[in-house]
Amino acid sequence: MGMLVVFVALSVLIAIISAMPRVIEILENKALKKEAKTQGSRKSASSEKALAIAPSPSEPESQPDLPHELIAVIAAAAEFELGPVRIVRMRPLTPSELAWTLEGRLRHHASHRLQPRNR
Amino acid sequence: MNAFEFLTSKASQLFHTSAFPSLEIGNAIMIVIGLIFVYLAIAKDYEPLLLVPIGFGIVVGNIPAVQGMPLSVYDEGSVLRFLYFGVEKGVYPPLIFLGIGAMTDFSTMLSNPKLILLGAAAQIGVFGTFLGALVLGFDPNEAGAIGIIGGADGPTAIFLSSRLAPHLLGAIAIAAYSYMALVPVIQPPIMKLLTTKEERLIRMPPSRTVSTRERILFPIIGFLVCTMLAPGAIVLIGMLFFGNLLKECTVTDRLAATARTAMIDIVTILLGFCVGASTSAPYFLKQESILIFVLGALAFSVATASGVIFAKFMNLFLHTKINPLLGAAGVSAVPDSARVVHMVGREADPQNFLLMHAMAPNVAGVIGSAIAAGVLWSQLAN
Repeated sequence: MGMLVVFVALSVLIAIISAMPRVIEILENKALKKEAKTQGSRKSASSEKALAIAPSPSEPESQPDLPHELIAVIAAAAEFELGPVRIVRMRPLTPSELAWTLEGRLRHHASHRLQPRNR
Repeated sequence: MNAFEFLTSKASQLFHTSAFPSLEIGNAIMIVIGLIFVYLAIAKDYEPLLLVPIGFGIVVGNIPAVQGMPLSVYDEGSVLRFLYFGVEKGVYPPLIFLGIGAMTDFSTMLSNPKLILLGAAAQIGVFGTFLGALVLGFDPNEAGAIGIIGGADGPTAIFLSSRLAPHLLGAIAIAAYSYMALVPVIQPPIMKLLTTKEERLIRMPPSRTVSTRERILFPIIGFLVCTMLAPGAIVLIGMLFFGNLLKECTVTDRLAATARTAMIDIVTILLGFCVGASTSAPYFLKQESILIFVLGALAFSVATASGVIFAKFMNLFLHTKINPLLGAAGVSAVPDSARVVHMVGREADPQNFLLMHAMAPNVAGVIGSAIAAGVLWSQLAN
């Protein structure tokens, strides 16, 4: 009985977690469509202005959830370190990629760890 | 009265007001055990954050009290008694859960939700041991408190035993924390025994990126689902998800930082020390304590084995196979069992990095064991 409750509760969680990205996507698409509609009506009024704010072809390809401020900061840091650069693509690391970084860092730290004296 | 007699009587009085006359062999054994815990923590790095407070607490709890002086956790009005209040009334475990929630990143679990089932499968150890304890003659409340050791979650074990069987609290807490510290020793042989080399070589596909919105919504939805089905888990699950919401909502960074650093450290010190201090020999060295340790080891081993076997069972139906070692992380010893899965996986293939994938069943195990505790509490309390 108790085991059943645990399985049911976690199975319901699995169902919700699996559905969550799709639901969020649908809601975001709806919001985008709404925004596009309102922008469309404005566009006809000021098409020249809209053209001016459209992304240039050289703007880096990035995921929509990356804020523009972050892109600007990363681009500035790269330019400061490497000189003039052209950033083509940006994306956040996935958890598995972060695991590689973390593992490397742990190994590096472990290899430099000093054993305390008198212990 | 001459000077010699005076000095002798004073020396005798001094001796009788010291702890030596009441020191029993049991106290001496417990002091040695406490010192071994401290040694293992300092010299061998075995869970030092737990074993140092518990080990030193054992030493403190086994210094015999002088008659008429309230000193131990069991003496009304003593300072230790006030600190022990948090253990006895189950105050500390939810606060620990708040800190754990503020530390936990659920994104690997959200990116691969089917691994949550491994966290549920590991709870078989809890309910299996509950039945085993009933057969051995423990009453249902005691059996429930002993079974939860299989969840390998110290705070949950303390919380449930404080509710169901307060007289077993010391033994259950020490057993739960000892097995948590011994995760790297107990789990690998079971994992290797139940898997083939080919299975250990299975690589997991990279996880997808989880959006901030999903991470904010999960603790709210997770709390509602879990507590609607198992209201007994409201305190532990509530604090866990509340802590996680503080971490993920991006506007309460200060609160999350306090919960996952200063607060959890303070509560861990108090909890570990008080649990250690409650193991006074007359209360702790009993036959039932040994039985609890044996049943605890059984619960923990069954939980590990059932997680691994369930992962193999899932592979029968899955197109993309999962590494069955991940099943062992279903016990909620966070992050030790995930680390053990990673190490055992790397023994088979040094380029196979299972750590992040193992965190998914590991955090699901925390939720699962809290639900199991809630179910046991609500069923047995009524």
